[in-house]
Amino acid sequence: MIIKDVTKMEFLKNIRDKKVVVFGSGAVGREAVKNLNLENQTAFICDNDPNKQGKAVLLSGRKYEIRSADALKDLPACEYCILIASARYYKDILNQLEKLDELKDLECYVYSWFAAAIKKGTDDFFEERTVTPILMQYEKVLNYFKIPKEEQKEKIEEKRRELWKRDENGVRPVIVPRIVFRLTTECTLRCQGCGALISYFKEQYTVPTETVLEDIQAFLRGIDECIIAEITGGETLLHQGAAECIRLLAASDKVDCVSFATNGTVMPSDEVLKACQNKKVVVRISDYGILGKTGNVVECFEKAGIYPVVMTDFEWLDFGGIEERGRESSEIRERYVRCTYSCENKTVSYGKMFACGRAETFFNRKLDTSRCNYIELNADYSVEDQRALIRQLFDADYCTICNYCDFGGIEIHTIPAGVQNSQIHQKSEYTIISRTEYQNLLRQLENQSFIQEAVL
Amino acid sequence: MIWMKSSKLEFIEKQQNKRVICFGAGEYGKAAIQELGIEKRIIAFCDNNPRKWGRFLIYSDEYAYPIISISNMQDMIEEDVIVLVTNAEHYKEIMVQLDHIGALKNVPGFVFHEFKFDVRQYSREFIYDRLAEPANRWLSYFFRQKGMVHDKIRSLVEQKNYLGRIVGGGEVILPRIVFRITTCCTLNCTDCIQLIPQFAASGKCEHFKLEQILSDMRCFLNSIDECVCATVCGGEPLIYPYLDCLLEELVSSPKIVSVQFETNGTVLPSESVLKVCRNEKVIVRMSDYGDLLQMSEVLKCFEDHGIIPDIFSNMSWRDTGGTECIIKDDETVRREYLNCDCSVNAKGIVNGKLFNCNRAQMLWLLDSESIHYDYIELDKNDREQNRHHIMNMYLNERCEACNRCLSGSEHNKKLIPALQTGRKDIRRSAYTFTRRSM
Repeated sequence: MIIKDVTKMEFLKNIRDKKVVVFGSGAVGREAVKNLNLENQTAFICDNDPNKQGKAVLLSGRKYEIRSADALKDLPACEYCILIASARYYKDILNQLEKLDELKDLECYVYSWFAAAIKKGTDDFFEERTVTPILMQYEKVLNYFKIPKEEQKEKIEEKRRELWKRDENGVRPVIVPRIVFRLTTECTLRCQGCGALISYFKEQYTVPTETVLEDIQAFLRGIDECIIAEITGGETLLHQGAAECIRLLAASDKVDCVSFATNGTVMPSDEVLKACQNKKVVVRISDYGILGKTGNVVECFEKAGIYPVVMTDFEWLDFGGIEERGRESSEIRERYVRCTYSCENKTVSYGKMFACGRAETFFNRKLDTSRCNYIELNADYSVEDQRALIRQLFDADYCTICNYCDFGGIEIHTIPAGVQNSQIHQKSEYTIISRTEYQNLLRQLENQSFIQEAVL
Repeated sequence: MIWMKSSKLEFIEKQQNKRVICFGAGEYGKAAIQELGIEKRIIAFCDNNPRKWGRFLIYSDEYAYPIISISNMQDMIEEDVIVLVTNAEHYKEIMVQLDHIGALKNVPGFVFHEFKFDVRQYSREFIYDRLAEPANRWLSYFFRQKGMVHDKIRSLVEQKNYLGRIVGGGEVILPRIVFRITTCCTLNCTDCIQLIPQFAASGKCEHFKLEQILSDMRCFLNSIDECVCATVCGGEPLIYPYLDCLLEELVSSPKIVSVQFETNGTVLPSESVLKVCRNEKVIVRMSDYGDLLQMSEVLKCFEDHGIIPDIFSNMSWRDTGGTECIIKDDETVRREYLNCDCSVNAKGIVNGKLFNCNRAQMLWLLDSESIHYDYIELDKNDREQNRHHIMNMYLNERCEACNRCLSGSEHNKKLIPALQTGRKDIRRSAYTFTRRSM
C-alpha cells in the first residue's frame, strides 16, 4: 500500500480520475464525503464493524454499501484509492491494511492528515488558516445580523475575492477573523475545565480599563478589518470598563461585529445596556441553569431592546490539564496548524497579542512565557511595523502552548459545560430559548425523520 | 383515482396484498404506518415539499422510505399499488391534485384521515378509536413525563390491555375526565375555550363548592373501573383555595392513573399544593403566554420542590367560534363531533352532572336553558345505571353543543393565544423556557 501524506488540494488533484473507497462509515466518513464533494466518486464504504457490513450509508439521497476490508482486495490500483476517515481508528486501520499484500499498489490517504500536511507560506496554508476561518466568522456575523441565506452566499463569495486580492505592491490586506480582549479573570462561577484557568488559581487578575483601551487602539491601527472583536473574562460584566471597550470597538469602521458572552449571573449596568444598543453588538448569554438569575438578565436586556443569543448546554472542548505533554516540535507544529482555536482566538492583554487564549493565560500565570507565543502591541511602533507583527502572528505555524494543551489533536474531547466545583447553584432542568429558536427546534424534532444521512 | 371508503380494520383486512405509496411524509404518515401495520409494503412516500425530495423518511431502525415527487410517483404505479393519503390538514387538496393526473385514473386511493368516519358506532373498532386508543395515549404521555424510555412505555401500555378489558371484560375504562372547580381566572383571554370572559361579563365567575366537587368525585369513581387521566380545571386552578384537598382525593384513588392540572404561569402555588404535586401521579402543565420573569419565578418554585412542569410554548389556539346557535345537519354534526378533540378528552363534571364536552358544560353553566341533552345526572342514578350512561356518553357520535361550536370543524382558524379582553395585554417576551433534554 502506498501511504500518501498530502493536503486536501493535492488529494483532490491526485484522485481526479479515480474511484474512492472511504474507510469508516461514522460521522467522520460522512463528513469527508460531503466536505470533499466525493458523492460521485465514492464507490462504496468500508467498515470493520460486522454489524454495519451489508447495510448502507444514506447520504444526500444516495445509498452507499458498507463492506468489509476484504472487498478491497480485488480493486485495480489504477482505478481506485482508499481514503481512511476515522478519528479514533485510523492508526489501526493503517496497520491492518499494510499487512494485506494484495493492496500493495493501492494509494491510501488519511483524511485527518490533510490539515497538518500544509506548509507555511503556501496558498493551501493561506486558504486553510486565513480564508476559511475568516469566512466562517463572517458567516456567523451574517447570521447574527439575520441576513437572508441567498444574500449571504453572495457576500461570502465577495469577501473571498477580497481576501485573495493583492494591491499594486503585491500585498494582501490584513483581515483577521476574530480578536479577543481579556478584561479580567474575576468570575462569579468556578467551572471545571475553564479556559481561563480560573478554577486552578486563587489569585485573579484584572487589566485596567486604560490599558485595554490602549490595546484596542494599537490593534486597530495595525489591521484593515476584523470580523468579530470580542471582549472576555472571567465574567465580562464584572469589569468596570466593559461598556467603554464595547463602545470603542463598535465605533471603529474596521470592526464588523462586537460580541461578548456573559454567564447570566450578573445584571448589566445601564452603561453596558446603552453600549449594547449599537446594532453591531451581539450579546451572548450562557445558560448554565441558574433559572432565576438568568431569567432576570435576559429580561433586563430585552427591556432595553437588546435580544441576546441564549446558549444552552453546549459542550466545552477539553483543553486537558496544565502539565507539560512532552511532545516533539514536529508534533507541536502539526497540532498548531490543525487547531481552529489558534486561528480564531488570538487574545490581547497588557499590550501583548498572544497566539491563542491559552497562551495568554499561561503567560499571565507565568506558566510559559516563551517569546514565540506573542507579539507586542505598541502605539509607538510605526503602522507598517505593527501590521507586519500582526501578520506575522497570524501566519505563524508554531506555538509552545501546544505542548500544554489537548486541542489540535485529531480526536476532539469534550466536557460538559459549566460544571461547578462547588454546589452553590442547583442546575435547573429548564433553559431559556428565544421563541423563534423554539419553533425551529420543534420543526427540527418533527423533521428528525427526514434525515439526509444514516446507516441502515 | 378511485377513492375508496374504508375503516381502519377493513383496510387492514382487505388490502393486505397491496403495495402502498403514501402521500404526505410527516409524523401523521408515520402514525398511519404504525396503526395499519403496513411498514413492509410501503414502496415510497410522496410529498409536495421539494425540500424533502431525495431524502428518506426514517420509520424505524429497519425501515426507511425514499421521499419522491408526484411526477416520480406516476412511474411507480403498477397493478398492485394503491395510494394512501396520510395528511390530516390538506387531504382534500391532495385528493383534487391526484384526481387531475390521468395516469392515476384507475388507481385505488384511500384517505387515512377519513377512516374514522366510516367506523360503525359501538363496534370494536369504534371502542378502540374513542376509548382504548386515547387511553393508551394519555398513559404514554404520563410515562413519558416520568422520564421513561419509548420501549418500556410500549410494553407497559400493552400490559394494560385496555381494549380487551373494555370489550371482553365489560370494564368501564376512560381516557380522561375533567372536574370543573372554578370559573375564576387571573387572565381574561378573548378566545378562551372555557368562555371565561363570558362568565366575567355576566358576573358568574365562582369557585364551586368543595363538598359538591368531592361528592362528584366519589360518585364518579364509584361508577368506573379505571380512568387514565383525571384533570381539575378552571379558570385558573391555582387560585382555588382547596386545590390541595381535591388533588389529594384524586391521587389517593387506585382507579386513577394520573392527575393533571394546567396553570397559566401567573400564580405561585401554595406549600400545601406543592406537597401534593410531589406525588408521582401528578403532572403539572404550564402554558407560557410570555411573561418571562413571572414564569421563571413560578417555575423555580415548582422546581425547588422537585416538580418539573410540562411547558407549552408558542402554541396557537383553535377558533371555536361564537356561542350563538347554528343548526347544522346531522352528518355535519357527526363528523365534527368525531373529529373534535374535546369530545374525547374533555368530558367534564360539575354540580353532579357529567357533560358530553367542555363546551356543553360551559354553555349550561352560563345558561341552563341552552343545553337539554348533553349531560347525565350522576347523583340521581345507582352505580349500574351510571356505568351504562357513562359508557354511552363516551361512545356518543354527536352532541347538541356542536351547533354552538366550531371546535371539530376542519376549517377553524388558528388564533393568537391569550389576547386580553378589557385589560392590558400580557407582556410577551421573545424568549420562553424549554426542557434541557429537548
